[in-house]
Amino acid sequence: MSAKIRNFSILALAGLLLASCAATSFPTFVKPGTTADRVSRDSAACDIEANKLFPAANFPVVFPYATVGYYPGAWGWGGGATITTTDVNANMRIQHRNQCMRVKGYTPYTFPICTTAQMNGQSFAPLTRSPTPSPNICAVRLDGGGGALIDLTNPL
Amino acid sequence: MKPALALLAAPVLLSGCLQYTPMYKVGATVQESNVARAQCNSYAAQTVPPMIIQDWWPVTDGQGRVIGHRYEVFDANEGRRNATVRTCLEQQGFARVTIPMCKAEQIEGRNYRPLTVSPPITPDICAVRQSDGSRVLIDLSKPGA
Repeated sequence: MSAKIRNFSILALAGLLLASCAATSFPTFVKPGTTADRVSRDSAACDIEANKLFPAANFPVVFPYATVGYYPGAWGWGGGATITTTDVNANMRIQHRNQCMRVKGYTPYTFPICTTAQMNGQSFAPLTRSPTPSPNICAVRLDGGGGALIDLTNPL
Repeated sequence: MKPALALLAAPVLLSGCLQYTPMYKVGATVQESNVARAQCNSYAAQTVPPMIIQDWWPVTDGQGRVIGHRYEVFDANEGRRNATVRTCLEQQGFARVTIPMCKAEQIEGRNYRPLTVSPPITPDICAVRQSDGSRVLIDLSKPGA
């Protein structure tokens, strides 16, 4: 039965990973007119401050489970536990990072991921300045992680 | 759960809805309180590592005969870790307090601004649960403030 649970866990994990690949939104901060370089610097400064004030604190979490199943020849039951950790400071760290960015004049905003149909086979350059949110601004995923905003009305 | 056990657990569970029991320091800002808590959490996580115990407990029938076993897994250091957080905060001037949750009739029809500095606790101070599960304090004597 533990093999079944392991298989289920692997499937669940695969599902989560696929879901993350298929993310349809890109949360970021906007401050119209600010250069992308400045946004990166401000974001990094807030990350550093938040990480210093609210460092990781990983507390273990135990999830016990019990199973009943038909083993070769007879019904039986078994139990076990999944032990993970949770960073109990994570929420406070995210909250501080968001406040830090607000203090610097940024507003949190979630852009949609550009669809293939929207891009229509055209090429776009990443915006070099933080845009004013509008329906023609969307995000593309970059190789190696992260994303960039593009303006659909301004193909190369 | 047996009925008697459920009856015993109910008041404990309900008290969590009626009261807020934070580590508290008069005069500390919300930011200072959060930073102190985070630093103490981090210190406790580093100094009190997990100690995972796996055990089998006998399950008996009414005559005391063992009819099976119950498997348990727990972190034996959980209590010590929580105590370390509490002691760390106490060393910085925080103490456990009990603050009532605001009743609907106390706040309906009025606006209150969340307090950013922990005030001396008076009957006018109560807690409001936020949509993200966190709680903020308000002063009932200062509506609209």
